[in-house]
Amino acid sequence: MKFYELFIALRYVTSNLKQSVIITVAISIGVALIIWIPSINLSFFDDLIDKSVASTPNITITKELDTFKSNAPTFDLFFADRRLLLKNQVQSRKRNIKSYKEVIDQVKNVEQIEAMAPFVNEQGFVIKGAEERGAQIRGIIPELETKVTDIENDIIRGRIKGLGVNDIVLGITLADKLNADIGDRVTITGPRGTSKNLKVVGIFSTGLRANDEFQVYVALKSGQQIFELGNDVNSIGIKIKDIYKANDVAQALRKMTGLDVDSWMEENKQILDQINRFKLIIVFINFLIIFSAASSITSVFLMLIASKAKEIGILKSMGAKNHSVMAVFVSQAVSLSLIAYVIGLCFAKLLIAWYAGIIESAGETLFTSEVPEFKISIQYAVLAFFYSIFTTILASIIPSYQAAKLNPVEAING
Amino acid sequence: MANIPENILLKLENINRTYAGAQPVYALKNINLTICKGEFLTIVGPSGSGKSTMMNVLGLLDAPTSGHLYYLGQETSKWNEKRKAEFRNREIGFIFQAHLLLPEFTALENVLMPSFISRKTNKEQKNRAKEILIHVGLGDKFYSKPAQLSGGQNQRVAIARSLMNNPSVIFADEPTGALDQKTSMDIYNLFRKINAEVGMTFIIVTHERDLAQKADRVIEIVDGNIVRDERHV
Repeated sequence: MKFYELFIALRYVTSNLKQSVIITVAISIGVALIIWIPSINLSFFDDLIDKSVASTPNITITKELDTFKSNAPTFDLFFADRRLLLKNQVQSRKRNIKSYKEVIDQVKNVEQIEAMAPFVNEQGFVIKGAEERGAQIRGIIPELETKVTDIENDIIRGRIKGLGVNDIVLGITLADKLNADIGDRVTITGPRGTSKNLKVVGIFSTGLRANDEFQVYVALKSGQQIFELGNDVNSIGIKIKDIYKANDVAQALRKMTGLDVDSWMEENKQILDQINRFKLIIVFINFLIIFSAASSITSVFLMLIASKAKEIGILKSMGAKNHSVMAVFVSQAVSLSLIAYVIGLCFAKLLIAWYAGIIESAGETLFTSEVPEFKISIQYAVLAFFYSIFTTILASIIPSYQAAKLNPVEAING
Repeated sequence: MANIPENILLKLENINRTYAGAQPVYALKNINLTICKGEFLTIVGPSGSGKSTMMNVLGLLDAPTSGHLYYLGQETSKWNEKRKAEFRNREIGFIFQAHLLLPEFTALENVLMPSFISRKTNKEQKNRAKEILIHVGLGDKFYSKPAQLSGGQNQRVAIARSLMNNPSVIFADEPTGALDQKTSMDIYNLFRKINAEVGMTFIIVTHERDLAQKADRVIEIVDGNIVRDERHV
């Protein structure tokens, strides 16, 4: 037998069930928590980022703000039910990009850029019968827009392709609130009071509450009419290959065009900062879990080794070397940690399923109207694997070292 | 290598063992002793006389404070723990009063343990372990654990274990102390049989005068000094 240490360790694992169970439970709870807590949070974060990124361009080129006076009704997205009519109200909007085709030609060869779509975008109202709702009205060229955002995949009824000048696509929540469906007619009103009656041809659901309740799509021509922009647009949306390079690409485009360029990362800075802060908290929680599990493993091993002193003495009298005695107990710890990892992983899966059930029964979250898909974070599952191995090695190494250093005479005589 | 005749197993020169403390304990005082290969000797003495210390020093479980200990002609005081452990595994067998078997392992596994430690276990070694167990009268107890055996049977397993690596010397510390008279006699006869058949050296520490007197050589220790070294043959 080449590795008698492992043979003895495995026998100790099966023969000292009480200690084995205590250690296994301590480690598997740690493993489960290390996987579960980040997994549900990262699922939330990933879902939020996916939905935010998918429903808007990664980068948007605009011009600087322009202010103008208006007697049109105004609204605030957060007080969408209140419609205020103010005289000589000073409003602001992005200036027009008159030569947007030239801008597209200028930047189309920039590395990372995958697709571009010009559009008009302003706040307005959507009215059906007595129901009036504030909305973000986006005038698009559907063939180009669908290359920049995932709106086509978000259509749950009707269509967005072939969007005509008399057509409109509504978000699911807005459609519900207006009691509108495919084929119904709604009126939209721009910030300068221009109105247009349109037919609902599609309904989308992005899962992001802000989009589904406030975003509507019309054809670029309709948008230009409602916003009185002539043939101009006020934005160019861009999709890039690596979304996390959005800030760098935006910076390059800013230099190249001299226009205002916003990246999704800048627009969602608060959320991203919050996510990063939360990730830091997760690291701290994981540290506490590891520390408490390691303490309990160390104390159990100290007790175990105290109870095995005579046996350690007899093994040493038979010629077992110090490193072999250490290896017996470290192998025992590692064997238990491997078992605990598998149990902890299963436990984490159960916890995730349980948590997903709770969220699903609630139906929605703060930011999203759809329940995210909860899955085990591979990154943290790997981390938990190394946690279980290293924690047990670290926690068992001091007691094992003490065991190895036991004087055989003192150990045998008790 | 010191110039020591080949028939000498152990040679002690001016061995002292002192336990430091507020009141130092002089457990062994200037011991000089020579033990030949194949001897069957007992070490006797009252409690606290130093006989167990003597056995631990001889068995390389404890290091003398001063003096020289030669094993098969080799001076051992400069040996590190690793070398001592290898030597114990190869050349020394221990039998203790409490059998000190590993309770999680069967009789056969306990006997095989010294061979596991030397990492030389093969089918031949397993057969040898079985033969030794049969030899000590436990042919039907290969797979019994210590808790399933009587005190005498466990002591026989411990004896079988001490023989496993075919050592030069067996140290037995009060091997019959916890056994009844008949079992004690059986164990003694077993030692004698092995000594006669294999020529293995036996050094038995005991306080039982009857048993001690049956040995070929009796060494008596009092207060850390050898006060008697008597040969019966």
